[in-house]
Amino acid sequence: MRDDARQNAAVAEQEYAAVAAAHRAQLFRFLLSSTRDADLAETLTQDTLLKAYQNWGSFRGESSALTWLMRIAINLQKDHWRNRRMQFWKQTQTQGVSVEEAAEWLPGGGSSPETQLLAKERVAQVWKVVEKLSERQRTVFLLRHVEELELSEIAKTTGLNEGTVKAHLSRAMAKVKAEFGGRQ
Amino acid sequence: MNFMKNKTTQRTEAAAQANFEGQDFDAQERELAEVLGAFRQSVHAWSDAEFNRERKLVPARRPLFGFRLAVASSLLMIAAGVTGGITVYQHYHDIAVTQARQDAEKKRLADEKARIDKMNQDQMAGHRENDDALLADIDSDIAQESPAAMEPLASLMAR
Repeated sequence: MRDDARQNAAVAEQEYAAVAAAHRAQLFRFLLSSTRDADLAETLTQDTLLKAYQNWGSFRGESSALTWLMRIAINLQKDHWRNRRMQFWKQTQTQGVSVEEAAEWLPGGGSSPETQLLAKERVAQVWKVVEKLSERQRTVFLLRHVEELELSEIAKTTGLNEGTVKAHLSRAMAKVKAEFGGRQ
Repeated sequence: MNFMKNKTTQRTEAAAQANFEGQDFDAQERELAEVLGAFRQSVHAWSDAEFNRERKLVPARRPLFGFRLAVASSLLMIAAGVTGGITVYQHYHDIAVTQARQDAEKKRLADEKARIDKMNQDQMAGHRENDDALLADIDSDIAQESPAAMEPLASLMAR
């Protein structure tokens, strides 16, 4: 009986380890795009995985593991900003990079310097819009256009209904379009 | 006929405009898709680079110790100032209250004294009036004419 329990625990740990290894990079990417701060994203990723490990027993598999992990990450991120607002006198240990710095990252792909420059400008413009979005709009936008999740998955991840997700995404896209419409 | 021709021309122009706008819309959508694709690739490239970067463990340092100390000192000074201010205010307030109470007592005593004096004066005046009336009565009661036996003396004095 005790051996069975031990065996089950070992299996659960193996399952968790596999899930964590499979989704860690994606969690980090989402948190990096949300915070533009690599150190903070790393800390929040570790916190997410720790919390997931502590609650792995309560994960019933109704949603995908990624959806569950993303949900934990979003909540931890919210908690982080809420705590930071409460502790306004604390020094910012880590700083997010500027939108220009964030836009520096582009896959080479052998394109011409002019094309690269134009792409950087465009990416920086998107970052500027993302920076101005509300928290929910930003989360939905990044989950859709960076993580390429389906609307139903975004709804499960954020705990919103699909119609609300659509509305947030539509508003975010309208702002992106307005930014690029103004440029033309 | 002319009307029909105009209508046909208008339709053609509208169709051309719609076609142009449609192309424009398609071009915008295409550009937007390209932009979002570049954004996605950029985030992925950045994330991959950061994810694989080695991180040094740095000991956590106490953030802005000096600033915290300054804030704490300022708060303490403000608290001390407020407490001292309240104490001083309370002290002077007590003195003022006592002084006012003493002044009120003095005024009350003075008023009381004035009232008693006035009462005494009134009494004295009453007595004086009574005395005068008594003397007047006495004067009137006493005979003003000399008795007959004293008449020769009175006539001598009258000379």
